[in-house]
Amino acid sequence: MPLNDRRIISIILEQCEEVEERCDGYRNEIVNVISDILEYERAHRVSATNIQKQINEKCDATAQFLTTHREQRDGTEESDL
Amino acid sequence: MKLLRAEFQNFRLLRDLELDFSCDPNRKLTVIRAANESGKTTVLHGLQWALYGDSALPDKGNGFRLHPIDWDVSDGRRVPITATVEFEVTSHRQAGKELRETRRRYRLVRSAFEDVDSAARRSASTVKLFALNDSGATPVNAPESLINDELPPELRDVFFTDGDRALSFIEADVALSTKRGRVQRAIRSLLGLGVIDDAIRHVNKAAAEVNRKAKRIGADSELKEVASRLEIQERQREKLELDLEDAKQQFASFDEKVNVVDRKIEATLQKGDREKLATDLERAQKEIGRLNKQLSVANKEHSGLFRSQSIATDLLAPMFTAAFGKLEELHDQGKIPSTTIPVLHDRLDAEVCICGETLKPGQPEGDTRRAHIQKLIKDNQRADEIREVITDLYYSAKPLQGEGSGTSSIWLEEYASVVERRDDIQELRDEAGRKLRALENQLDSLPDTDIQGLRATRNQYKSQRDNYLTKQSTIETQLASLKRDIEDLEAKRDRLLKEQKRGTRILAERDVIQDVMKVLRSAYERITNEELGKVSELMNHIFLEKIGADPEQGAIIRRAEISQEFDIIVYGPRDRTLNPDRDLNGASRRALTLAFILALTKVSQVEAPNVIDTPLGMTSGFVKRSILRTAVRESAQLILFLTQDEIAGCEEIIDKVGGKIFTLTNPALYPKILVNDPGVADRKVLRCECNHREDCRLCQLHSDAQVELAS
Repeated sequence: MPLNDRRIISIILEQCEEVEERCDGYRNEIVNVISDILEYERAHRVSATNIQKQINEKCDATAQFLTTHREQRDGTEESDL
Repeated sequence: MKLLRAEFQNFRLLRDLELDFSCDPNRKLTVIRAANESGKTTVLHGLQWALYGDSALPDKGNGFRLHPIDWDVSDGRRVPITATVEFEVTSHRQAGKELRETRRRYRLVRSAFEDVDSAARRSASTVKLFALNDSGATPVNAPESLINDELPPELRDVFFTDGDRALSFIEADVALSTKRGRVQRAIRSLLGLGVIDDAIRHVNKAAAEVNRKAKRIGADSELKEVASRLEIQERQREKLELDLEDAKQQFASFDEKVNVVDRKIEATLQKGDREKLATDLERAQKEIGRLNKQLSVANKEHSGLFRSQSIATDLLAPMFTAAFGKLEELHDQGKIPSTTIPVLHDRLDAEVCICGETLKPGQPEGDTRRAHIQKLIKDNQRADEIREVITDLYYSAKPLQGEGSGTSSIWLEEYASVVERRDDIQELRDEAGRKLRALENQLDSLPDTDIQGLRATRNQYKSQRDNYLTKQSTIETQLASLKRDIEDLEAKRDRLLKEQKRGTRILAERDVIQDVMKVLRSAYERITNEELGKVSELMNHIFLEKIGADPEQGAIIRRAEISQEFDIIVYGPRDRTLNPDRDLNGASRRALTLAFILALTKVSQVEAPNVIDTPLGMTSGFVKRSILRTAVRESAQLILFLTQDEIAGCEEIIDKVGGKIFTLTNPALYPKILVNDPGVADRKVLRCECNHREDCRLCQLHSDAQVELAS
């Protein structure tokens, strides 16, 4: 890709700082998701891939991560009560 | 990406040529020294053909011969043409907290066969890409994808620049929307906005998937109904966005068409306005008609002169004089006139006698005297006939005496006046005739272009362009309203999801997608705004630095910038906008385009080559050195094709930053430009390792003075 990856990544990392930390490690997860999405896009440009499926799955996995953490947090909160 | 080496076989003058390029970050300049007509532009075309195929050739390769013009058909009527380029690609990937750098080397081989005939038909070229590693070369699928990704075709003008034509971003001969489009595409592509744009599109589709999941778990509830409505609205939004893009493209397309027709009209009008010429022609014909009438009157006047009494009196003047002499003699002798009767008649008419007494009728004395005079008249009427005739002659000729005997001729004066008037009219008539002929010739020489038709076409295009502009704003309004509806529906759907058991999972997915989208969009916006500002600022800096020493331009140009609308604007004193194509001299236009290209490459931090043919033409002294210095400083890899004249004065800079320097020579330039006979029968470019300060038997050139003397 013509754009220097480091430049894009540094901007994205800075923008990720603005993301709400919905659970522990969530922001890092988002950084990884976006990194992977850009990697998928890059690979898709070189040779066509089922990119939509890859992105859906990636988002789904992070959603699972978030749900699990939320459930754990809610469980902890309930047991505290 | 960095270019490592290139190789050409049978590509025009490059029958068998190998080039290598410097990849040393401290000496990143490669100088390919070559005199004019020694293959510089051919190498530029060859590199681009290797990477992009026929679309990179002039006229997209149509009618553009690739094989050597002096190809010997005994070697075959189909010429194999090959261009090979080796390059290195560096990529980075964030792995946890670590940024990993990977360098890969590739070899791209493009080949085609071309017939040796006037049509120079050639087969579609084939491209093969190999990944180079320690174990050799491994074929890579879909080579175009990698090239399009590393050096997108829309950036061809950024990476491969013909210095003489390095104006595609600022030239006046294209519509504003076209220039804007080029600048916008170059910036977006080089800043990587394309890849983020694609990612946003795919993540958006993932968001639609979230809604479909909500619809599935909603069964027959309100959630299903809301999710279904949302689905429809999303589809509507997608359609409107496509329509909007289409309207924008159509607007730009008709804007360009208006511009093309405008240029045609302007070009035709420069040769002459057929309509105006026709009006001028009609006016000239009327003027000729009017002058013809005047001329006819003058001619009649002229011929009338020859029928006048004055010409007769003038012609008979000597005879008149002699005759009068005789008559006067008779008169003096008292033989004539037969004075009595006319005198007596005179006296009667005058009613006064010669002696002074009254002859008034009705008075007794007058009547008496009148009766006496009338008696005298009767007595005299009996005088002899000859004397009467002579007397008549004397008196009737008397009025002519003055005319015929004078020194000046009335007729001649009249003649001179009439002829002068007629000649003046004739001159005006001749002049009008010449003007008419000139207009007719001008009209005949005009191309058969229908200006009226062109104006009608232009108006049609303008009307269509305006329609698309209206359509664009209508769609934008509809989209704004639709987005508000979608937001309302999403809020409602999310509220309903919270009430569902499985809704939490879907809401988590929505949160993830929203966060990803937010990051991508803000990154996109930031790159567009901030990075565009940086490109603009750096371009201005480089540009002013390049032209700083030019007193002529330095006094006019204050700054240059890229607007938010992607227009490259140059400002003069008091912030007056200058037209880069008209108000800037050749060196400044070249400097501005190169400044834009270098700033864009630098800000994007892209590791890409800048291959520039004759970047220092039309420049000299400090400006020339300044252009070279800034180009070296701002480039990741700089490959310059320079003539000896361009190098002159820049030797010390090249000494410091030149990583690879070699010379190309065209043997066909012997003996006019080359000193020594290269002893090569074929027309082909040869390489020697002479640097910018050296000459060898092959590349040694005659001095300019010697060349001029010889020619």
